[in-house]
Amino acid sequence: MLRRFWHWLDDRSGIQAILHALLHEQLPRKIGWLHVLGSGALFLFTVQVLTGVLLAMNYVPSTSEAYDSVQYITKEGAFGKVVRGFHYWGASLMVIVVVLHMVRVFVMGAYKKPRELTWMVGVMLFVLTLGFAFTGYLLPYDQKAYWATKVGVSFVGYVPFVGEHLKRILYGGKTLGAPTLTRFYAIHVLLLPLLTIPLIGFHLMLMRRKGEMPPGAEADEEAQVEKPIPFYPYQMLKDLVFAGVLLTLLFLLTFVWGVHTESPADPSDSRYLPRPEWYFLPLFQLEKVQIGKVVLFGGSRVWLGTVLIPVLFVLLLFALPFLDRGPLRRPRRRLPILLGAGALLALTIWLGVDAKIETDRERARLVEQSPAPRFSGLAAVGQRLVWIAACAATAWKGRVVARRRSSFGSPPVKPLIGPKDQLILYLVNPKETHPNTVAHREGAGADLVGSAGSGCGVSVVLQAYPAACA
Amino acid sequence: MDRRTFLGRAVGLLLGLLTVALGTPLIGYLLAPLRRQGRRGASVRLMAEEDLPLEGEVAEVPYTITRRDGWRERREVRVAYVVNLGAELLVLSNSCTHTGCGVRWEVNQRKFICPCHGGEFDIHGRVLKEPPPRPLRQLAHQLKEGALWIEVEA
Repeated sequence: MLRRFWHWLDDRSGIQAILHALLHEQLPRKIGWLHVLGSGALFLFTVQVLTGVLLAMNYVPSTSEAYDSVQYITKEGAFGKVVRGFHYWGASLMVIVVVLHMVRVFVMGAYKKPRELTWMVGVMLFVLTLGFAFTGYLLPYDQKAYWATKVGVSFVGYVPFVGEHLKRILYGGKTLGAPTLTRFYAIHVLLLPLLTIPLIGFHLMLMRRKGEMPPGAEADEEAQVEKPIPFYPYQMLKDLVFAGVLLTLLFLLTFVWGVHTESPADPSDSRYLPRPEWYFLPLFQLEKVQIGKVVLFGGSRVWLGTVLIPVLFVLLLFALPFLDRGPLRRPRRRLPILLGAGALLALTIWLGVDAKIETDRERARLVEQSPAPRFSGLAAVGQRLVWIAACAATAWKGRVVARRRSSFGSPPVKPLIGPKDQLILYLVNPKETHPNTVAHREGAGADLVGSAGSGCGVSVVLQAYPAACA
Repeated sequence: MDRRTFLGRAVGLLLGLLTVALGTPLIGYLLAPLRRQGRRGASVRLMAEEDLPLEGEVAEVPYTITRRDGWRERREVRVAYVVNLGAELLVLSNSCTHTGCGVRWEVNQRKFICPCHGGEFDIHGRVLKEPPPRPLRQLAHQLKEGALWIEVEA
């Protein structure tokens, strides 16, 4: 029966020949584990599409409902946490895998003739990946979403002559608000996939047309390289193992690190430290670089750091096969360009790490400034006990409120705790907050109090308030 | 079994494992509404006793319920028909049992008519003309504190 159906399908569609063509590409012997990165990116993209479709079923791109609908997905739905966690962490893994894939191609010299176009389409896919990331994290409309988007869009504002106009087009108005969220949503779920999916197809088609570059073979030797290994099952098995590793990572990240949602977007919060996702940190930090006392990209030079350098960087990547026309492929013979690119990569990573260190320092400073007094010795023990008591009391109060609260989406509960006790909110459940949020504002605290009650104890206090407990 | 066949089997096995590992949460998420339970019924005050329709008459009475609606809580206006049969009082849902359109009481013809596929019900809510497969749903009700109360699912 099944066999007859298969014959019928094959007769009408020629599917067997298609599958054969897809699976039985002959590969050079040296293709191996380093070549699983591209298919890894494809696997992650598939995960993003599947989880994205599911998330879109419950998500509302509206400033008044976005946050609650995301909470609903994470906390109410069975598997909601997994689906959101995969999408959230998938984005970060995607950036990593795509960059590693590019590094692999770069080091092996596979972007050179006759595979220039494959590389250029790849660079376009890289830019699209970053576009997905940037438009994606506004959507939960929490503090990070709001502020990181504000900073990101302001970069566009520095484009000479038309910057302000571009900014207004991106915002859909004068400032970040309801029209921004809807258009970022439309870009994220409609425009970018419409561009990305055909480009992925094109990228794969180009790859098959010129074949995988045999590692270690110079251009004139390529024709003589034997291709004895069929893609199925040898390379496909490696690809699948890597996909399994990525999926395992997604599970681990989702369950061990969880999904971070900060408190709802609050344009009036001046104690919040806006920081983008890690992959934009280097660019963020670039704007602060100082030489002596001079901020390198300050004043009238801001546009150099926010517009010119990023654009030049992408153009450099894009045009790489034409800028570096030397025929040599083996890494050992291309040391200068490899060292140059390595230095650039190291500089980028250094900027990112520097941003992280500086953020931690800044956060510690803000904590030190907060109202709670510091004691030493016995007094510190007493203070800690008071905290634990306050913590427990707040948690208890929170539970009562949580019970009284009708549901998600009801008007925000009036603040129960005055500004002086804001720190306690943070102590109660730091997991709900984000390290960037040092002290919570009253309105944002309501949800926190609502979910308080768990994880209350010395360790939490220590974790939450390292400066005072040191 | 040669190496190639073995690896081919491994590919199949891994592909299956990946599909299950990824598919389980995705399908589970899709099926989540099956496990979500509606809130238990609520008592709603429909109308004062003195406003009840006269014997043999039907009154269309709107009422408001507060309903949990996904991530929101929403007030929703619904309509019930109160039928005074003399010996007893019926409260009928206005939702046609065929495809859920709102039926209307035609005073002159003395029947409920569905605007969608032409189903008709008599004053007891019994089917006069198909396609509706069942009579109109009756809502549990009681008279207390001088008013008519109904039990509704939120």
